[in-house]
Amino acid sequence: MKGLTRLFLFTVMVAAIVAGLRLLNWMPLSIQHEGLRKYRTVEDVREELGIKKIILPSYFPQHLIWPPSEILAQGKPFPMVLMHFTDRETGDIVLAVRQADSRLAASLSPRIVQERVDRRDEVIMKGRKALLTAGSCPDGTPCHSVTWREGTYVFTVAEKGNVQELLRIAESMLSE
Amino acid sequence: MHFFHTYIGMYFIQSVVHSVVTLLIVEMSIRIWAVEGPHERFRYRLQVLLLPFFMFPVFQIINPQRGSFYFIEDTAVFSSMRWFDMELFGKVPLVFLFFLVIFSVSLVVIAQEILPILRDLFSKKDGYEGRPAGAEVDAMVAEMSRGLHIEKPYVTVIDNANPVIFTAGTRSHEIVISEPLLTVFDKRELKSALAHELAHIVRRSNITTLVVFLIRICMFYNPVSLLEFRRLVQDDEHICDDITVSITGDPHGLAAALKAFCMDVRHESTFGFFEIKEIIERSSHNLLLFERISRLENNRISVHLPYRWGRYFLTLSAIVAVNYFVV
Repeated sequence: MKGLTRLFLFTVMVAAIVAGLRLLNWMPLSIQHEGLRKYRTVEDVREELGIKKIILPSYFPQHLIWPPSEILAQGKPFPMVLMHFTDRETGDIVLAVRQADSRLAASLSPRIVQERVDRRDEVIMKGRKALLTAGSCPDGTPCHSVTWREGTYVFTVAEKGNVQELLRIAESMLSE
Repeated sequence: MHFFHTYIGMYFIQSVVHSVVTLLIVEMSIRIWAVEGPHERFRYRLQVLLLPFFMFPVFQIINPQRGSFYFIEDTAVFSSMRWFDMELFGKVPLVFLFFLVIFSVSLVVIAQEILPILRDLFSKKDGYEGRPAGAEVDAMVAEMSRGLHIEKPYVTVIDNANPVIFTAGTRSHEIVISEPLLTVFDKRELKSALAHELAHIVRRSNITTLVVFLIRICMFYNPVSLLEFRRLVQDDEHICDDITVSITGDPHGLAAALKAFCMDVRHESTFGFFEIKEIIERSSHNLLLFERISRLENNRISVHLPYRWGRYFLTLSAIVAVNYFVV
């Protein structure tokens, strides 16, 4: 066998192992549907996980793209839905909306991570207490989050941008 | 369950998964690159033992976010936790089955290897009690040692009914041979057996095996390491067989000497647990010997292809690259 043939076979072998690993990685998702995974639409989450109450903001700034660029959800051990929205111009993720069962000890963090927290304030949104955290992301841009409890769920909205817009989006998720 | 999401738990899981992937790549590479020489095979197989021991901590230093959900979702090729988080019959997480496997392997390693070594260590005396081998054996060993440019080791004959020959010590060496072998072996067989022990000294097999063994002990829970260590020991024997033949020029002499170490396997109608265990151990011991004997008798010559190191580093790179994406 020539050297080039051996090199070709070696490349095929590595590619086959990677393909096999990818297949093995996909199998658990196709067997068990309730673990944490990506969904294409909010409707898919409702249908497949049976989470009927998924609250979305009714105020949606123009610079964001609808639908969410990424939807991550799980049914077990407790329900959780996390949506990421991207900016129309930059294509960056600038808004995250998370709805997690309050019994969930450690739920998945949004992609918008506050590296530095400057202040924490209690705010009232439509008569509900919420915790507003202002700070900055690892790239230095200001990013803030607001968290409140509604029934059996804990909601978190995180945004890169200004606090007023964040609060307006969060308030639009609440009923009077 | 939480334990398997900690760094130590992730190390346990990922080192085993990395071992499996490395084993696959190494064994297929050996076939594709037609690696025939035992020395080269040993080098390839060493990767299966060494790399999984270091890869997880190094990868985590390079990218601390490697274990995060987003890495798994966006970048990883395979996530073991996807399988281990699954539940068998909706009740038992699969990770418990994995835990059961590594617990069983750990028990085997402790019972078969760690305990006997500790027992040996505590009962060890200085040197081996026995008689000097005599002028003829000494002259034979001295001549071969000169040819190999090593210090002539001391040869001790011990009073043991079993056919035993081994090299003791890591810095100053001593060849220990049991009494019956001196009568069973003819001159060329004895020369081959002694040359084989000298080959171990030349290769510093005791130190190499000790280092490899220590890493294996650290990976006591890993079934792949358990198997691969034995293959490495067999490769080491092949290397020493080749050195022996280069010294004596007599492969059939060594093959004949090896036959003296084959064990009788009893065939009885009723067996207890310990009899079965002994039969399995003796049979596997014989299988390894037969393989070496056949290799020597057929005088298999290894063909070395060009770009040996190039192929080796390509394989090494593939292993590291693929395993980086396996979490």
